[in-house]
Amino acid sequence: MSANSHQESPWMGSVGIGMLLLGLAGGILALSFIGYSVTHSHAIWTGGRVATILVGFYGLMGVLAGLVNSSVEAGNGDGHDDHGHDEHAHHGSFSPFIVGVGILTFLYGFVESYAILVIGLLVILLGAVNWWREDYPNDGKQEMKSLGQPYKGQDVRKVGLWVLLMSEILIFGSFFSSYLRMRMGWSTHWNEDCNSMLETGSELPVCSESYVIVASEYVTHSFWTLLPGAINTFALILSSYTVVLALKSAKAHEFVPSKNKWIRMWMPDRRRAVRNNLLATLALGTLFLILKLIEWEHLIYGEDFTVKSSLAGSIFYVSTGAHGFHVFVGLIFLCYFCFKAHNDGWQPENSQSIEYFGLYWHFVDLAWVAIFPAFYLY
Amino acid sequence: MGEYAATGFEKWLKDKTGKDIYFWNFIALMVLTVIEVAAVYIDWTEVLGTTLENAKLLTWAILIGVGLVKVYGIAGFFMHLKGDPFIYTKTAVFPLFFVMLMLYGIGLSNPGGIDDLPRWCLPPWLK
Repeated sequence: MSANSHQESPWMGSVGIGMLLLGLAGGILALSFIGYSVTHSHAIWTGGRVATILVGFYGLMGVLAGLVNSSVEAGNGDGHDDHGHDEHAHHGSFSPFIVGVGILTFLYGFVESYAILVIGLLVILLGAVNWWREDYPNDGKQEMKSLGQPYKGQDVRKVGLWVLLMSEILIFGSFFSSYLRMRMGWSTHWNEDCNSMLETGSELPVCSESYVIVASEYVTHSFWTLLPGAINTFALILSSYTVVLALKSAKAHEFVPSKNKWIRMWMPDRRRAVRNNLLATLALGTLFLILKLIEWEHLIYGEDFTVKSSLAGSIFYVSTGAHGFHVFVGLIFLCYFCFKAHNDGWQPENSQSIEYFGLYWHFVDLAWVAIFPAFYLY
Repeated sequence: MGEYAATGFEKWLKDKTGKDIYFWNFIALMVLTVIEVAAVYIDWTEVLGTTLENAKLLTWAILIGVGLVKVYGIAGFFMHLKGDPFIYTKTAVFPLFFVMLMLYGIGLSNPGGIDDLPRWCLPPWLK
């Protein structure tokens, strides 16, 4: 990585940060247990456990980042490998294929056996680490261009990502169109007859056999039940903006610190501007998942609205769960980006990787723009 | 989010406010989300003196309208479809054709498409 003489070097390595995060995860678990013992709030206990798992996972990624970083630096010290290739040349990668096989095995194991499921997870981890190891020295000078129409001249990675997003639109489109079609045939809380019964004192009306209770009825019931979904919406929009800021900082050939003294204090140079904006994105994504699971906990245990309770429950959990899974996948990639940023790994020449991650992250935001009003508000 | 030539309005906005289009897009998305939440909590039957059916349609119209503007803001500016070659916009819009087909094929063309959907989706050996 090209070092910038004006920038301060990180005082702590990735392994140190990883260990710190593992300790923090233990602290969060202890605090949430104490909080639950005192208040008996399931939200605190659920939120604490989810935060522990995620922060612990980031800690493991930190340790892994440190090890990968060391091995890459040791292996490429002279700038050339044993075959006489330039260290920066792009060799292509089998890692996405390995990850794909891992996901296939994982999903098969999900239905068949836990042993196969664990093997699938290990294959995914193997592919991800190898992918990470291969991408770490990428300085963006060997970006491959598409040769064929209709994408001639475009970056291959960008085209690949858009094709992925195209398939993602189909996945979420199928969930959304199924829900929309079913919802059009249901009698819900918008039914006038049911509402007249509601006024008579029945908390949740049972005015006809076809009446279906949808998730939004529980969610919009009060300000406090809507709050997690609303905060999540703002968190995702804000996180989209912080990705844009990280990219702008990484792309700037001459980084100019902000005139605002508070922002300047946190982001005095490119390294810290990129890293801290990415960290903000990671924190907001983590908040999203924590609030999502607190909300699920309330719906499942507080309202008895489960994936098996009705078609409405099934489509709600499948759609929001698929979205949450996409957020989690984004956070895994974000961990790598944060640790690389910590080691001053992002320069204007290779900033397009942040751009491509941003495309994925904005898509996750885009999917939520459709899910939030349809499943939570209406 | 690649190289992007700002339009005249975007340059004017930056000159006048000191903030670029991404910042204002972010602010607009936040405000639009508040409007979405407000649209659900406002009792249109009282405010406009209309029927529940009309209130339902109005809320639905607001949610769809605001949602479309938000999609434009995210896809157009944050995902930079506005400045990128048009082939990326075509790539993004292409699957929507199949979504429409799916909606029509599953639902609108068959009266059993609503309640029978789970049975349709089951593979033959599970029926």
